[in-house]
Amino acid sequence: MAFIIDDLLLMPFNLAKKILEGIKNEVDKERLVTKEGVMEKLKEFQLLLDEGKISEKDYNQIEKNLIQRLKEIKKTEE
Amino acid sequence: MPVSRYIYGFIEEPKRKEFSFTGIDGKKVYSFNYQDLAAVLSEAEVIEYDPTRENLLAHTHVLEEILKKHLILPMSFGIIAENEEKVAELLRQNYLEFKRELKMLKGKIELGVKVLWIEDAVVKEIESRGKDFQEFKKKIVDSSVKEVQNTKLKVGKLVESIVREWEKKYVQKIYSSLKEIAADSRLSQPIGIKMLLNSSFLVDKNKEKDFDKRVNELAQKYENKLKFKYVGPVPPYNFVNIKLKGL
Repeated sequence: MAFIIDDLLLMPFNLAKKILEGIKNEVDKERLVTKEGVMEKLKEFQLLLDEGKISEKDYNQIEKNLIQRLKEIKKTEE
Repeated sequence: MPVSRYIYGFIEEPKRKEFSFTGIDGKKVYSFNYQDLAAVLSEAEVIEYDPTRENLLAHTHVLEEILKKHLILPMSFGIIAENEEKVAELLRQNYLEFKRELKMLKGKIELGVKVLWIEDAVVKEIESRGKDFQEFKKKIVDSSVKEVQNTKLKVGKLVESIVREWEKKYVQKIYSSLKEIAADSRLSQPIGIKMLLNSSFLVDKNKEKDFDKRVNELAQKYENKLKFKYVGPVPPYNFVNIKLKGL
């Protein structure tokens, strides 16, 4: 019934798909340019996993990509 | 054998001892003391650990196990010292600070309260204001891509305005009510779009039951609009205020 809201709530998940597809612009737009921004996103996805809204498999892939992003940011800061 | 040490936190402990549980990478956890204070450590295989869920859980698990018997000043994830000598140096340089913080936290616990809005409740609210959700649903099914986008935007705006309204009406009241029973309180950044309140409270151990009661009362009062997530006691992450010297 609340599928429209579900859609809005899945917004971070749609972002995940884009991360998986490696679209750089989207990533930058969504505040993934700072370490803090990435950590915030990581926490969001952990919450989604805990609530059963995404699968462990999807989470693991997203986590991998976000941590990769974190490493890239750290490199540019050095 | 790796020389680096992963630091979980600091406790009052005059002796070197090994704990029964393991930490990151499944390594043994032990206390390394300087006088009556000790760092809680495990061997670190790498110079940096990724903040994966696995590693974060291992870190948290150690802190929660320690908390069963000791008051601990928790470190954030990922603090690694080159070797035990560096840890000894840390303990020496920050000794007075650590003692002061431990004294301040003695007899107190940290409890966390998160408040989120309930989807179905927001839908009900939209419907009660005369915007028929069925109509929106129909539009999504029958319409062009552009119309679908517009409808989603409309719904999104409605949801947002209701959520902001509830935030104004209820969140401050909830936070203030809980602050009354706490010695100290902190607000953190809400996680995700459904969270309205992400708060931590430092509460006297002998007031824990009163605090429990208050949380339950509030959860019941708002149960048809808001969901409460209540955790604790947890290590006092949010009330430890140390600028580590020498790291």
